[in-house]
Amino acid sequence: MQTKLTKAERKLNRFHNHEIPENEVLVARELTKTYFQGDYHIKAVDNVFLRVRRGEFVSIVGTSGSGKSTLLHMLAGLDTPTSGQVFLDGYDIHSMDDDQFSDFRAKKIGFIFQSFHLLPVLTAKENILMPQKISGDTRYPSYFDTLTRMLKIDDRLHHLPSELSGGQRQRVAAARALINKPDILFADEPTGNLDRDSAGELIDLLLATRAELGQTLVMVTHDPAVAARADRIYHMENGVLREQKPE
Amino acid sequence: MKQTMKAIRYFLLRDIRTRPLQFLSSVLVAMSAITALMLMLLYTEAAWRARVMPDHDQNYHFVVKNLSYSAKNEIANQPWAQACYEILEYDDDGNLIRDDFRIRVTWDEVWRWGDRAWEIFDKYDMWDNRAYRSAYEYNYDYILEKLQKRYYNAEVVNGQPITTSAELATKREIVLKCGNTAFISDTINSYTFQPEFFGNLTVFGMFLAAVMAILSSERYKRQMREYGTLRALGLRRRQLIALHCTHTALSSVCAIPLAAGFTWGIVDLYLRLMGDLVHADPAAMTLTESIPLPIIGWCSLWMTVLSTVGSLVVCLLYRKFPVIVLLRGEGTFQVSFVSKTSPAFEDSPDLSVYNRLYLLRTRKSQIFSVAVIAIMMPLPLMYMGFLIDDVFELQYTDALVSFLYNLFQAIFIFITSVTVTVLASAGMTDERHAEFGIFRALGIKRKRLSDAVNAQSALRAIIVAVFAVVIFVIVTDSRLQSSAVTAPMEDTLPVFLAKCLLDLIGTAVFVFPSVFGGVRLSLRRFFRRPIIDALRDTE
Ligand SMILES: Nc1ncnc2c1ncn2[C@@H]1O[C@H](COP(=O)(O)OP(=O)(O)O)[C@@H](O)[C@H]1O
Ligand SMILES: [Mg+2]
Repeated sequence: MQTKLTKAERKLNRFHNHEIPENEVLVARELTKTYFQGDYHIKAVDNVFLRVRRGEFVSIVGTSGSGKSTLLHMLAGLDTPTSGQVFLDGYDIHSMDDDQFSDFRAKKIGFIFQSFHLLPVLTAKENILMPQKISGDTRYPSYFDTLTRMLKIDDRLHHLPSELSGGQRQRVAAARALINKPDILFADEPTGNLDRDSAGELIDLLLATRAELGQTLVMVTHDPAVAARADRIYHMENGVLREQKPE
Repeated sequence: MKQTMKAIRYFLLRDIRTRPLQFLSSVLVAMSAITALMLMLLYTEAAWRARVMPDHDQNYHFVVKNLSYSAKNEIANQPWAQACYEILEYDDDGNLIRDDFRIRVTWDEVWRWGDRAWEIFDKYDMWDNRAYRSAYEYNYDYILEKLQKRYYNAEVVNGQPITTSAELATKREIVLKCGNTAFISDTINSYTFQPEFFGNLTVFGMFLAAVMAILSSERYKRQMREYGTLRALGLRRRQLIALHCTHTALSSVCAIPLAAGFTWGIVDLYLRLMGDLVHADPAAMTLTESIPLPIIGWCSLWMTVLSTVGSLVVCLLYRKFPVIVLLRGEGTFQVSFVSKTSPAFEDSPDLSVYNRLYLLRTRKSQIFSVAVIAIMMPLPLMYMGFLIDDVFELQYTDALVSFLYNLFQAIFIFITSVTVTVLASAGMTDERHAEFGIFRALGIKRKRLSDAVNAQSALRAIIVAVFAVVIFVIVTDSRLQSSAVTAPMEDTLPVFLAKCLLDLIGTAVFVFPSVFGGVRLSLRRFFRRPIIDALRDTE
């Protein structure tokens, strides 16, 4: 049956690539980012190809400065590539119009930043609820309590970020990324500021929500133990991405 | 100690060398304010004005007979005396048969000097007509003018009409120079203590202090990490303040010779443009002739002090930040203590609640930013008033002359205030780019973000406008009340309110475009770059 498409949907459809299989939620092609600094330039990300299937947990490891964060930012549409394409759900996000992609970010993508990026004037609770204010999405009213209890920040909800420790800020940032139950979650070293136990708990939580919601998880990490729990592991070196062959 | 001073000097010079534009902008701002003040003070001196203003029918000529030489000198040295002429006539035997002393004044000017002028008028009995005296007493400008017109063709001894005096002037007339000498002594002795002089100094000082506070706070924010490093390396709090304020003071000092040169240039340009009208020879004016040294001295001292005060206020505002906060460059947000998550936040369906919380919780920075612009505004408002007055009087020859003269000053003041407001507004918005980046990463659309920011800016602009008008009314009101002669009629309430409304509109004309211009500039910059640029992760 042919349904009538709205104007917005038709507009959106123009950026849909039908050759990409339904189950490949995230696809990157020839993704490159070059930083020009005077005469010489740095290829932070060098011709990366990547395919992530729906519900998969992919981890990216690599030395500091190898381009992991830059890659993740481009995959999530926060940074513009020098060349190459990124498809989310089959849509070419770097060609899409900004408003359309903003909606994508609000509803489908969660991002846990390496340095948290919490809003300094809002309390922890307000920070966590912010995505709901933006998307106008209040489908999961009880999810907030569940999340904060699981992340053990329910006794710190009325503090400003400046009054929280690094680990607490990290968990608030994680709760904020999860509150809208995104389809795909990007995490940039989410355990970098946590002790071993808390790190383990956060990963457990991320994996549990992933299992429950069928989320896709792309995580940059330093911790081999965390990386080992992924379905697939990628190595990044000087901007080049290589998949680690399972033994 | 000596070692630290050396370190401060080293850092300061290096700072100026690596960021010359920052220093230059500060110098230019100080220069424009000092230039305008110099031009204004020159204008308030009658003798100086007489040389650059034509003899027009609002001028009044008194003739007093047979005065002693010292009496003539005393009158000539009055700051309200525009010009004085000695008219001496001898018979064939060389005996003095006529000894007239003619003084050119404007009633405006005489009033400005209040009691002091009154004393001299009494002393030499310059009121031969009782009508003058009572009209003067009640400040009836228009009656005085009528009297003058009525006597236009009549032969009178005192208050001699212009045509006659002009004829006389072609005879044996000696022009007594009452110019800068009067000013030099009077500036120090009495003029200084005139309310009007203080009023002007205050308004100009407020302007420069506010403008410098804005520039200084932008500079502080930009250099916060560096200051943190210096503090971590052992610089004391006081020394940091000294370091920061010296930059400002130095820029004011550098502005002084520039301002003097500019003032001279403008006077010169003005005379070249209006030379025919004012019968003045522009080439005759040298720098020291056109600007009396005391004026340069006073302006410089006052403006340097005030601009340093503006900078000091900023330092005091940031004084409490611990070194680590400076090091992280986090000191720009002054989030007031929050005891609990706002209940409004949970109820609100949309983003407007964030706007409210933001304003509430950063109120200290908000109050500062609103206050500085409001304190800056009275000066441009004053000039706007001058120009409007002049436009209404353009039918008179001298109105064009003074319009042009005021216009030169106004241009400096307007450009400076608009630029600085745009800068401040863009700076405040720039500071929030990281925050905007978070919002964008969370999926907010451009338009929604701009709308939210614009709503806040509109609110801020309205508050600025209201504050500015309140300050302006207080300042101008006190200036009027402190002058010796009372206004002819007290404003009724509706008139007063109408004036306030006009001031408000005048302020809005300034504040709204510049505040929004700054915000737009900053938002454009933000939207042009990838989101992550505002959020840059540091490892
Ligand atoms: N804005 C930038 N300008 C220039 N070079 C940059 C910029 N951001 C990152 N880089 C460089 O790109 C490389 C990759 O950085 P990043 O992605 O942050 O590494 P990782 O997250 O793997 O530690 C580094 O060499 C870094 O110096
Ligand atoms: Mg990184």
